[in-house]
Amino acid sequence: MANKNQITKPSGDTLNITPEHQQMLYTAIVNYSEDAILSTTLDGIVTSWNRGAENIFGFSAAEIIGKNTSIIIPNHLTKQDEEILNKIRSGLAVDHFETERIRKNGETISVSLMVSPIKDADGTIIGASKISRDITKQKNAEAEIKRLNSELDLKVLKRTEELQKAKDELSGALESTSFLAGIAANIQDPVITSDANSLITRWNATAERLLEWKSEEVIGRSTVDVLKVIYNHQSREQILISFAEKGYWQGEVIYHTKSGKPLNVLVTASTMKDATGTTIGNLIIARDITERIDSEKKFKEFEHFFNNSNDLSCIANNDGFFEIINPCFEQALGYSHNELSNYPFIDFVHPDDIAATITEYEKLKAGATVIHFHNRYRAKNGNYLLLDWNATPNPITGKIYCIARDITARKKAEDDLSKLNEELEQKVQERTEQITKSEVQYRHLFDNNPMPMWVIDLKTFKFLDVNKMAIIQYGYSRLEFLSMTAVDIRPIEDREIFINSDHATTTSKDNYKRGIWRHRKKDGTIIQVDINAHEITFEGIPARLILAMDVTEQKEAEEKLISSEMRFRSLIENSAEGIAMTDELSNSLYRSPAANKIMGPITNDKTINLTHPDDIPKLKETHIKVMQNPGVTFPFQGRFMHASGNYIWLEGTFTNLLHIKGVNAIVANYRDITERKKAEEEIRLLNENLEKKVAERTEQLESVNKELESFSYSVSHDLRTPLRAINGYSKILEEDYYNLFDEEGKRLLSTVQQNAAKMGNLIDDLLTFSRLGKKEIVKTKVDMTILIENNIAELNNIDSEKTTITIDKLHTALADSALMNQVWANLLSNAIKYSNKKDHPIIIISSEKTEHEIIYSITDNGAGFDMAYADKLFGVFQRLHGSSEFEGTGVGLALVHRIISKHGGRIWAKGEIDKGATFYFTIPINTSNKNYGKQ
Amino acid sequence: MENNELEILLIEDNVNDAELTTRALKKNKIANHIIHLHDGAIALDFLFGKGDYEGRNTKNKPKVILLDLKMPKISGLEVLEQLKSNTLTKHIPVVMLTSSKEHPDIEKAYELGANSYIVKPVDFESFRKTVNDLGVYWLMLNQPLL
Repeated sequence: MANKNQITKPSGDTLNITPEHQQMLYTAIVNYSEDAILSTTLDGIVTSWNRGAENIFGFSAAEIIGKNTSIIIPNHLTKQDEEILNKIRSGLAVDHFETERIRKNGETISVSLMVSPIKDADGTIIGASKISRDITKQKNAEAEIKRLNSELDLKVLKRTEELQKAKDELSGALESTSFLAGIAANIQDPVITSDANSLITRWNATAERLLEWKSEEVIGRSTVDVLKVIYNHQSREQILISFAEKGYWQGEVIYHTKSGKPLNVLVTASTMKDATGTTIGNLIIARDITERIDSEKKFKEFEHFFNNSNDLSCIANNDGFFEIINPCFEQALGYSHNELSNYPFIDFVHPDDIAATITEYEKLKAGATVIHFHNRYRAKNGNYLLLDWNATPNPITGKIYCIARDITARKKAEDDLSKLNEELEQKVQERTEQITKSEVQYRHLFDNNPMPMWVIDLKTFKFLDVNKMAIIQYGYSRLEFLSMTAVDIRPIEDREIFINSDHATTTSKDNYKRGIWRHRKKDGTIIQVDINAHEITFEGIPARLILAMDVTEQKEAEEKLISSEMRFRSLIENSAEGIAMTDELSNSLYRSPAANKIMGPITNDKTINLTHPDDIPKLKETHIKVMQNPGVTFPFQGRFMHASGNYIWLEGTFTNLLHIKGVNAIVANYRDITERKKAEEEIRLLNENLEKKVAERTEQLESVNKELESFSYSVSHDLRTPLRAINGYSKILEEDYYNLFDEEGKRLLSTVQQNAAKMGNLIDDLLTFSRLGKKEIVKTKVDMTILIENNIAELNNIDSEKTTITIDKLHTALADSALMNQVWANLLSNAIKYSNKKDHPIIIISSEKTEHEIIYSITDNGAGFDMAYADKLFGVFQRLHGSSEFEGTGVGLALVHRIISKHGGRIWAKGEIDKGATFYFTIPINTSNKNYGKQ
Repeated sequence: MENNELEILLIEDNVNDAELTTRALKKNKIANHIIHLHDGAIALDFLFGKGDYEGRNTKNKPKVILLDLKMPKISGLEVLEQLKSNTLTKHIPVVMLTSSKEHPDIEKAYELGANSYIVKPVDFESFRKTVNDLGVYWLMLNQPLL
C-alpha cells in the first residue's frame, strides 16, 4: 500500500513524501509564521489557527477552532467581513487592507488583512484563508504623529491669529491715544476733574459707565477714596512730586469700580489753571486699557511658548533670511542665532530638496495661506534632519511664520514600517504561490492517483469529474462517466440501498465517510470496493469526492478465510477429540466443547495441577520435549482430574505451535480412554489369570506327561519281563520237548512265540517313541548318505538281488545324527517293506535345497496308499495295511514325524494305491529359526 | 557247594529270569557253580557272612556278580553301593542286569562302580547269547584282581 501514497510530481520525480508528511511541512511553515494564518469555512467557521494567530488574537487554537470568526470582529465591522466572505465565495481574493479586530482580552487591535479563497483539489472553493498582521503599534504611531501635527497646526494657527489680533489692537490703542487731545473724545474715556484738594468736581458719562459710580455720588469726594488707585511702577508720592514739577503725568494704574473690580487704565493727569495761572484743579483722563493689558499678557505667554517650544519655530523675512529663531531651532540644528540669521535659509537645505523647497515657497508668494512640506536641513554637525514644515505668510508684512518638526525618527519608523509591509507583501506573495503550487499538486494527485477517484454531485449523483484510474479500471470513457450517475455503476439490486443510504451533507468534523460497496464495471464485472468519501464543494455544488479501492480479492480472501475458519472451527468444535490450547506456562487458552465434555466444567487450571501425581514426572518430561521441538507431535497418556474430582485416563498428543502466528499455543488433542484402560486392566487381569491357569495346566500336563512316561516306561519294562518269560519258556519247550508235540501242538507253540516276538517289537517301539519325548536333540552336521548306506547294510528284510536303491547326492543337514539315523531306518524299512512284493522294487532317495530348508524324499514303487487317509499316516498305532499284509507296529511313522517336528521340519507323503509312495521331510537351514517348521 | 569254587552269584528277584539265566549259562557250559539269591538283603548277608549266612567263609567270593537293578527291599543300587564300599567285596566284578538300556539307574550304577550292564532281551535267543557272551568275558577272559 505504501507505494500508492507516493506523490508523483509533474516533473516525473518520485518523492518518498507522504501527503501526511507534506501536510506536516505545511503545518510547520504556517506555525512558524508570526502572522496570524487561519482558515475558515465559507460560513466563517474557523478550521485552522496557527501560533501567530494565537499570539495576535490571544485565543488558543483549541478555543476557537469550530467557532465563528465573528468573535474577533468588532460589531461595526461585521458587515465588512460578510462582504469579504462574499468576495471569497465568488473566488476573489481580498488584498491586504487595514481593519480592526478584537483580542480575547477585549482590546481592539489594528490588523493588515489578506484573505484568499481555499480551493479543494477540484478547484472548488471550500473556505477562506486569512493572513493578518498586527499593525496596531504602527497605526498608533501614525495616529500620534498625525494628532501632534494637527495639534501643532492648530496651535500655530491660533497663535498666528492671536498675534495678529494683538497687533491690531495695539495699533488701535496707539491710534486712540492720538485722540486724547480732543475733548470730543471725552465720551470715549472717563474724564474726571478735581479741585486743588483733589476733590472730584466733574465725572463724565464714560466714567459713570466704566466705574459704575454716578457723578452725584462722587462729586465732592476725594479721587483717592473713590478710585482706590493702585500704582504699578511708582508710589503716589513719587507721582505727586513728578506731577507737581511738570504739571503733567501719564502712567498706568489700576482703578477700582464701585463694585470693587479692578480696571486697568492709562491715566493722563494735567493741572488746570485759571487765567491768573492759579491752579484750580486737575484734569484726569483715564483710558480703559484692560484689553491691552490682556494682550500683553498673552503675548508674553506666546513668547514663552515660542522660546520653550520643542518645535523649530522661526520667522523669515522677504529677503530669504531668518529674522526670529526660537531656541529649539538653534539647539536642533546646533547653530547660534547669528550663524543662522547671517545666511539665507535656503543655504541650509539639502541640495536635493532645494528645488522642492523653493517650489513650496513660491506657493506662498502666489497666495497660498499655508504650505506643508518636508525637506532635509543641514545641522551644524553635517547631519541632515528631516523637517516637517508648516509655513504661513503674514499677509501684511509678507514675512513667513514657520514651524518645523524634526521627523527624522518618525520617517525612519515609517521607512521601517514600509519595509515591513514590503516583507509582509513578499510573504503573502510567497504563500499565495505555495498555495497555487500545492493546488496544482493536488490536482495532479487526483488525476494520477493510482486508485480510482471521482467527484459526484451530492444531489443528483452525477459524475462531475473522474480520474484516469477510474476510467482504466471501470472501462467507461471520461465522457461516458460524465453522462452517468453513481447509481449506474452499481449492480441493480444494490441501487436502492445506495439511493436510500444517508447522503445528507455531513457536518462531522472531518466530512468523511467510508464503507464497502459493490460496483459494476462496464464489462459487467462486479467488484467490491472500499469507498472513502469526503464532502466537498465542487465548483460551488455540494459534492462528494470518492476514492474507490478495489478490495474484491481481499474480500473474497477474507470470506474464504472466514469460511475456512468456520470449517476449522466446526471441525474442532464437533470433533469428538478434546482440543485444548495452552500458553508456554500451561495456562489454558482454549478448550473445545469436546474437551469440556471430557474434562467437565473445570476451572481454567494449569495442566500440571490436574495431573495425577504418579503421571507428573512423565508429563513434565514430555512437556520439556514439546517445548524443545516446535512443530513436532508428542504422544502422551496419563490420568487427569475431571471436574468431579475423579481421575480419568486421557490419551493424545501435544504439539508446540507457539511459533505459528495466529496460533501461538501448545495444542493438545486427547480422548478419554478411561473405559479402554478399564478394559485393558480387565484383560490384563484375565491374562494374568489365564497365564496362571496355563501355568497350572501346563504343570498338570507335565505332571501327567511324566506320569505317562513313567507309566509307559514301567509298562514296557514290566511287560518285557513276563514276555521274556513267555519267550524263554516257549523256547525251552521247543528245545527240550519239541518231539513231544504233534503237528498241531508245534503250530500252537510257534504262534505263541510269534505273538510274543511281535509284542516285544511293539514294546520296543513304544519305548523308543516315549524316549523321544524326553530327549534333547543335539545338532551336528549330518551326512545323510552315510546314515542311509549304514542303514541299508543293516537291513535284514532287503532282497538285494531284485531291489534297486538310488541315492542322489544328498545335502548335509544340521540335525541330531542318532535321530536322523532313526528316521532313515524307519523310512527305508517302510520303503522296502511296501515295495518288496514287486518284481523290481525301486527306491529313490534325493534332496532339494530351498532358501530355508532342505527337502528330503524317499520314493518307492510299492503298494502305495489312498491319499484319502494321508492324514492318518503319521498317527501312533495308525496303520493303513493289515498286519497280515505288511508287518508293522504303527509306531514307525509316528516316530519319524515326532523327530522331524523336533527339528522344526515338516513331513508329508504322496501316494497312490499300487503305484508307490513318496515321503518328504524337511530340515530347516537356519538353525536359529527353530520355529520355522511350525509355521 | 562249599567245596566248589563259586563262579557266579546271580542276585535276581524274578525267578523266571533267574531260571532262564542260569539255564543259559549252564547250557553253554560256561559256569556250573551258580548261586542264585532272591533279594538284595540276602545277597548282602551271603557276601558278608551275616544273618542266615553267619559263619560262611566270606573268602569264597564269586568271580562275577550278576545284579538285577530292580528288586524289592534293597534295590540293586544299594547292594552295589555296599559291595563297592567294602574292601572285602569291592574288587568283585558286578554286572548289572536291567530290562531296559534306558533305565536311569544305569548311569548311577556306573558311578557307584558297576563294571558293566546287560539288557535282558525279551527274545530268548538274544538273551541266551548275551548271557553267554557275558559269562565268557567275565569268567574266562577277565583276570580278577588278587
